[in-house]
Amino acid sequence: MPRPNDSLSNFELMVMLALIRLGDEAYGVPVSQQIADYRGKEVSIGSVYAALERLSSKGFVSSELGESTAERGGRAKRYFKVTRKGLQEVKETQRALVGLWKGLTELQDKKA
Amino acid sequence: MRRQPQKGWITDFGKWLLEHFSGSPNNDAILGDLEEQYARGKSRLWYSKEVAAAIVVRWCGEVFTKRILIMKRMAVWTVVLTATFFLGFWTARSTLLIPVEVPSMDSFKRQMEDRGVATDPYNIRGFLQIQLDEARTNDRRQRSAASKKRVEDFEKKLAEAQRRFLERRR
Repeated sequence: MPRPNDSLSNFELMVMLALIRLGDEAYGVPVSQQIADYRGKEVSIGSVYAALERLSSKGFVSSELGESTAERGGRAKRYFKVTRKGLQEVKETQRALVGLWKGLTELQDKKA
Repeated sequence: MRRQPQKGWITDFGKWLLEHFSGSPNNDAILGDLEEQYARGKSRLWYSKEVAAAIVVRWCGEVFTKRILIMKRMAVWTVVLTATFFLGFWTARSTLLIPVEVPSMDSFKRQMEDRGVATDPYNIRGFLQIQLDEARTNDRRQRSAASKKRVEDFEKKLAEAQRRFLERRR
């Protein structure tokens, strides 16, 4: 059973889903853009990294340094990847949310 | 629109701020991401907002993760400061402590003069008074001419000392 601190917050879940979507190309900029596209609101890179640090301390994501480019002032990219434990946690969260969503007529789109 | 990597004050200042106030292990990656976006046409305002957000988010996260420790420390300091305040308050109001009045220089001089210390620093009159008392006691016991003479001598000496003392005082 997961510890209470190991559960995913709303934003952390979004970050995890963005990481899964992006695969091997997941670093700060595309993750924040991905979330911003779906949310319709801009997301600061700092808050993405803060969430990634928390997820990393929980063991849900791992990271490795990538190539450095002149465009980035010679700084290397840090690529993040969802771990097996992280994937398991996302699946459990999905199962819980889908279960809670089912049968809620108030949340269903009303068709004319 | 792509710009050349900027080495302007905004990126330098952003770097300095993040290095000094963020303390994130991903500072380098954050700065790289910010510079990448800045080079792709984001504004200076955007860059500044991102730096500020990174610092604020980091600090809020630190406070949240260390909230138990922070609350414990706040509780300890509240107890310590309250105890110190009440101890100081009690000490100031306590009747157990006798207030010590420091006399002014004038009143000190007056007191010394009243005791004759200022004009009779060796307290000759006091000394002679004691000698006279002893001589009188001896005289009452012995009833001799010598003891009587001794009493008379001391009476004269004391009278002389008293006269000089009053003269000096004037």
